[in-house]
Amino acid sequence: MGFEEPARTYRLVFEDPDFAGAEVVCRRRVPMRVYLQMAAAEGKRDSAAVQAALHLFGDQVLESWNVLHDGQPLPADGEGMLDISPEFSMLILASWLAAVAEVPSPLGPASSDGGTSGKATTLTATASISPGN
Amino acid sequence: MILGLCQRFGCLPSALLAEDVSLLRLLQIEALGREGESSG
Repeated sequence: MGFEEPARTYRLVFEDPDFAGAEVVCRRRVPMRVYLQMAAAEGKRDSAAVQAALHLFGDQVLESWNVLHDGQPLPADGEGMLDISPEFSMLILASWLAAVAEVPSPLGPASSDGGTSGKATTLTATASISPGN
Repeated sequence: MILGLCQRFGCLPSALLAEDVSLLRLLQIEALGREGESSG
């Protein structure tokens, strides 16, 4: 019988009141190529490059989310990433970039969620990130 | 950064770009270790 390693994810939970309640699950393991494309798009003003990066993010990094549009679930893919506000999409992108590249401090804030999926470590001012599985 | 890492690991950029992004964390952990060595 074969064994397939489970896909590891980050669960992004946002502390900004505007995005409170949103949960975004993203892959942890992606090729460096994808990461560098995202990092290059972060903070850029070239809308075509940013849109391409967000679309790629939705298709290759985004696993699932609980985002609705007019009461209907928005697909967690490239099209969905382009349907949310630029502010939210860039927040998701920045949070994921920080999560994959930064090493959490060993003396970071203690978990308050009581979950078994790991400690929630605040990596940015507006999002907390915990291992999904 | 890419060329520096290619030189370090002895690989082509295509191989590096296909590598898992967790390599960045590994590099950061190593850098933190170096900081500790130099300050301690």
